Amino acid sequence: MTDTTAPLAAPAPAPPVRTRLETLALYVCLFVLLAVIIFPIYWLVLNSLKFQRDFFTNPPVYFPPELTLGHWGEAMGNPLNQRYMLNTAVVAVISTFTATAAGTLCAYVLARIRMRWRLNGILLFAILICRLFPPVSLAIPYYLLMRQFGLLDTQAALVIAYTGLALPFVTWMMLTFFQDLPKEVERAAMVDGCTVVQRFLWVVLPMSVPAMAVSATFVFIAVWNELLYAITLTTLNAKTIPVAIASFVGDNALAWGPMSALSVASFVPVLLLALAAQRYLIRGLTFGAVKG
Amino acid sequence: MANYLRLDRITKSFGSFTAVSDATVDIAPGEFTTLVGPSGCGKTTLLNIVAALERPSSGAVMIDGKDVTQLSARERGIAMVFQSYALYPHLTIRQNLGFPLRVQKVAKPERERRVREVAELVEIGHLLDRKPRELSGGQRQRVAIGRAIIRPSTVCLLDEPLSNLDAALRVRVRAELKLLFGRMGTTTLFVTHDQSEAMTMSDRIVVMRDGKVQQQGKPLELYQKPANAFVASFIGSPQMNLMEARVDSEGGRALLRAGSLTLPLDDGQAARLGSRRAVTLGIRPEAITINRVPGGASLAARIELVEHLGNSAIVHYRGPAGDQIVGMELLDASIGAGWSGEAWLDPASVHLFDTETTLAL
Repeated sequence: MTDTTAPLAAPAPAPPVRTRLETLALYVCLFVLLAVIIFPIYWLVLNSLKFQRDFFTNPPVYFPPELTLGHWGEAMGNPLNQRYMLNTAVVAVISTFTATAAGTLCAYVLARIRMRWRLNGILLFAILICRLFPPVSLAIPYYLLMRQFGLLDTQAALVIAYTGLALPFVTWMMLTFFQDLPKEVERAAMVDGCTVVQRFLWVVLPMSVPAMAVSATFVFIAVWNELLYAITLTTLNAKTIPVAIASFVGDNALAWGPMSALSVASFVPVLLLALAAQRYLIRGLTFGAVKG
Repeated sequence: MANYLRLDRITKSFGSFTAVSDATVDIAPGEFTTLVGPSGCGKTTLLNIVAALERPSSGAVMIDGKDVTQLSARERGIAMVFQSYALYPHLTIRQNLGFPLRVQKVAKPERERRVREVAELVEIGHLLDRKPRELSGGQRQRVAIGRAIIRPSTVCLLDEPLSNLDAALRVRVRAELKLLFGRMGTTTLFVTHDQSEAMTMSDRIVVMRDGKVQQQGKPLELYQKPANAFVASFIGSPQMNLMEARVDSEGGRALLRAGSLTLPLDDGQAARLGSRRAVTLGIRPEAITINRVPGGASLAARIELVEHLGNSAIVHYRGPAGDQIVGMELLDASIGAGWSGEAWLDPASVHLFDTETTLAL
C-alpha cells in the first residue's frame, strides 16, 4: 500500500538554548542600564512630591502612599526662582543663537576658503586650543575681564562667556558638515548667478538647518545646565537655575523638596528640546562618519 | 542669439600637476561641441574654466570676441548641467527650475510662466511640487536641464549629464538632448568620456588626453582621418586594431609585415612612409571580414570568439604568430569560435602612424 499522506511540514526548530540565554542576558543588561539611568530621575521626581517626613525614613520609601504639590508651589511660587528661570532661558537662547550663527559662519569660511600659509589649519587649532584647558582655569580670567568691563552679575557676562566657550564646538561640528556638503550644489548656485551672500543664504543655510539644529541643541543643553561660570560671574541679579538649585544646599540643612521640584522644572525645557531635535541628534552624532 | 566661444591657449596647473596644457578650442555660434577623452584628461577642468568655477593659470576665455577670463560665472551668463545634477535638495522642482530667474529678480508671474513652459518642454510638468529626492535619476536629469535652459545663456555647458542613467535611457535621452539643443540653437559644450555619445551627439568633437587637445573636427572626420594613434584608438567602437609593423619590400613593392599579416602598400602609402623602417599600423575592425575582398590582402586566422550583436558581430581572430586582431561582420553571419580560414582586408583602408610620435602619416 502506498502512503498517500503528504509529508508533514517539519516543525520550526526551537531556538538554540544558547541564543535564548544570550537574549535573556541582553534583556537583563538593558534593564540594569535603564534602571541606572532612570532611577535617579524617578527619585528626583519622587522627592519633589514627597512629604517632608518621608525623606529620611529607613528603609527608604520607594512608593509613598501620599504625595504633595507643596514643594512645587514653594519652588515655583517664589518670584526669585521665576526670575532665575527667566535668566537661564534668556542667557541660553541668546548664547545658543550667537554661538551657532557665529560658529556656522566661521566653519563655512574655513571649509570653503583656502587661505595662504596654511592659515586654515592654524586658525582651526587656535579655535580648538581654548577647549583644551579645564573650564575652571578660564573662569578666573573671565571673572577679571567682566569685572573690568563692569559686567559682573549681568546676563551679558554669561552670554559672552558661554558664546566664547561654545564657539569652538559649533565651529568644529559645522566644519565637518560643510566638508561633507557636496560642492556641486554651491557651484550650481554660482553658475545660476548667486553672489557669495545669496549662495550662503539661499542654498547653504537651508541645507545646513539639521546640522545647525544639532549643534544648537548641544549648546543649549550645556548652557542651560552650566554651573561653574554662572556661580563665578553672578551673585544675585543674573543668577541662573543651576546656581539657584545649588544654593538650596545650606550649612545646616538641605531643602530636598523645593530643590527637587526646581530641578525637575528646569529639566523639562531641555527634555522637550531634546525630544524635538531627536531625529537630527542621531544623525548629528555621525556627522562626517560617512560621506552622503 | 547664439554666441561664439573661444578658449585661447588655456593652461591650468594645480601645484606641479598640469591639468590642461595650452588648449585652444573654437566653438561656432549654435554649435554642439563635445570634449571627449579618458578620465583625468582635463576635460572637466576645461569646462569649469569656461564656467568660471576655475581660473586658468594662463590663456583666455572669449565669448563673442570679448575676454571674459576675469568675469565671474554670474557675469558670463553661462548655464550648466552638472554630472550629479546638483539640484537644490531643500527646494521643490518648481523652485529649482525658477531659481536662476529668482536670482535675476524676474517677477513672480513671469517666473511661473517660464517654469511651466520649460517643465512642459522637458516633460516634468507633473512633478513640479515634488522635492528632488522623490525623483528618479532620469527625472532629476530633466530638471537639471530645465534649470539650465530656463534663462537665456551665452553658452550651455553639460558635464557628463548622461553618466548616471541606465544604458537604455541614456540612448533615448541623448537623442532628445540633441534635438532639444538643436531646436534652441544654443552654443553648447558637452563633456563625456564615452566616444559613442560624442559621435552621435556632436557637430564637432575635441579629443583630449593628458590635458592636451589631440584633435578637433567633425565626428566623421575624426573617425576617418585620426590625427594620431590615440585618437584612432579612442574614436570608434570596437577600437581600431593597432600593431607594430615592419617595412619590407618584395619585387620592388613596399610591404608591411605585422605578426601574421603581410600587407602590400600602394605608391601613395609607400611615399608617406619615407625612410621609416617601422610604423604603427591601424586597421578598423569593419575593414576585416571573412568575405573575400577583391584586390585585398588575406590573413590566415582562427576565430577565437564571436560577440553577436544581432545586426552585426564582433569577431576576435588569432593569427598563426599568436597575434590577436578584431574584425567585424556587418551582417551577423552564423560563424562561431573555432572557424579557421582566411580573413580579408582592403589595404587602402589601413591607417599608418609614426611609431615614435604616434602622428598619422
